Amino acid sequence: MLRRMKLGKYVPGNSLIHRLDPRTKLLGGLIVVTAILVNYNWPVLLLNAGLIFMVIFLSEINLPSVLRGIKWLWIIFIFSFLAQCVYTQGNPLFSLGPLTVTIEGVYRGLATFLRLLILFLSSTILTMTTSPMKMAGGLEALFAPLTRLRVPVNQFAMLVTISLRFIPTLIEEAETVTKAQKSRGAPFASPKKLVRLKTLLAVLIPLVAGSLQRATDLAVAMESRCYTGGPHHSRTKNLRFGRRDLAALAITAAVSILPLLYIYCAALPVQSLQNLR
Amino acid sequence: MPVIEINNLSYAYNGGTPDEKKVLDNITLSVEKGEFLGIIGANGSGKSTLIQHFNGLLYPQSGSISVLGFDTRDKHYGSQLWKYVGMVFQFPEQQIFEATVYDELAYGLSNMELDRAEIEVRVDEALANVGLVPEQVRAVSPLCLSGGMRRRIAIASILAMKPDILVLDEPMAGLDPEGCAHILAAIKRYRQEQDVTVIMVSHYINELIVLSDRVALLDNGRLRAWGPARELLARDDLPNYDLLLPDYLKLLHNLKKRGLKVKTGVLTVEEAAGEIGRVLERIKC
Repeated sequence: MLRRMKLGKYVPGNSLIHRLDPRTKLLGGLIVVTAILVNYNWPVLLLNAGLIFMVIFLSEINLPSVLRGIKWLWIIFIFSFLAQCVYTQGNPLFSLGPLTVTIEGVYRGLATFLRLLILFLSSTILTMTTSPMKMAGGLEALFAPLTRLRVPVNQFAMLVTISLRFIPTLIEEAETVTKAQKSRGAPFASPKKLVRLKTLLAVLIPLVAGSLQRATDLAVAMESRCYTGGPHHSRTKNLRFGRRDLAALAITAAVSILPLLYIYCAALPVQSLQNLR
Repeated sequence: MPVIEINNLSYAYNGGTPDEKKVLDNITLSVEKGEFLGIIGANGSGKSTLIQHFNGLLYPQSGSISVLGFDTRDKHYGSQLWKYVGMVFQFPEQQIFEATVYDELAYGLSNMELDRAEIEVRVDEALANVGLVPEQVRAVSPLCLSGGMRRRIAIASILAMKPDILVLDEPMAGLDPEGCAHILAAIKRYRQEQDVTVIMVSHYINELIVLSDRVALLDNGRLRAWGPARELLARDDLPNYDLLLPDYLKLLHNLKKRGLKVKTGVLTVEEAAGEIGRVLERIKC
């Protein structure tokens, strides 16, 4: 059951996107997401969607497998589309009983759908092409300026790295313990809620006990290799922000930010005119 | 009459996706009632996946398996299979969750809906079987005990259920010699008292071959050999399967490879010594 948790799982590869610096991908993702959240004009959405599909193509990850990961998210997509169609005021397109679908509604519905899709795809492609270790390194490097404000960025990054590292281990262990308790007749499928809850405890308690033990062991192992919580010299040096990163960020900025600037600058005089009136 | 019959069983993880991994490939095997079957093979050869088919944790993707005369996929029967097939996982001490040793052993028994008196008797019996004194440990929290003791408690919790078929996956991994001895003794004792079928996966080949009536050798998901331990050890291709062979077997196989006419189908060091002595005699003549 747990093996099916595949959404956004890192897929090792050596494509252009895989090789980009994690900081580039994090920043790029942030730019795209901000752009579509700030503004939902057609040109902005289409440009960003185009950019994302381009990235997917370049990452050599097969698109159907990404889209299959959406599964139940489609329900949210369709529901929000339908809600927008019906609840937006404007020129009626057609009526279904008491519900009136408006042209503006369809437009906003489609826009919402696209925004959600871009949000989903950009985060998925980020995690699918960036190994957890690189991701943690990238986050650490991006938040590094906060160390001046006495934010313990290094410790935070270590925290993220460790938790990412142990997710697969925990999943595996949960599977084994579940099977072991099933072999002793644990009633996982009991019709009584209370019984099911107690059965769940039979899996959770060994998991927590195991994690605590592992945390203790890990702490000792880290201390014996002189970890004191300071900056992490070995890892950040592995990050290299090269020419291709610069190009990638430039393209992202051109596609995502320029249209926004254009729209807002063009809108300025109109607004001031209206204010004058 | 065989208690487990496996026909052309195959199993793959992530079936239908690019990272499909075939772990069991067309396995046909049967286990007789009262038999001790040893399963050996390198890491990743499919041993653990195979034994999880025995109590219905996994179902065959192709082929079939019947346990105690019924297909494991039978809806009414499959969900009851755990009562008859006791499964001791690798590092079973990880599954301990109750607050006291008594509760831990009673967990499976109360799932079997036995009455209190019966549970108490069985708990004490099982604890004694693994070499613990019931009065001393019953009320203790399992987390306070050593790793070896916890392992014995986890195994006792399966033994208490008195399964007809006992399946053990590497029950001695990571234990000191004393811990190993306790567990081996418990398995032997349980077998004598109950006349049950035991299936054991182990890297400790020298212990396993002495106990086993028959041994199955898995390699990359295929059943390479299956038969009495002596026959299996006599095979010339044995050193090719990444097994942790005991030194005396390695020695005999190497001697045979160099052209000496030695029998490699020996079970113990003593037999190996006798075999080498015999060959030396012959060379002198």
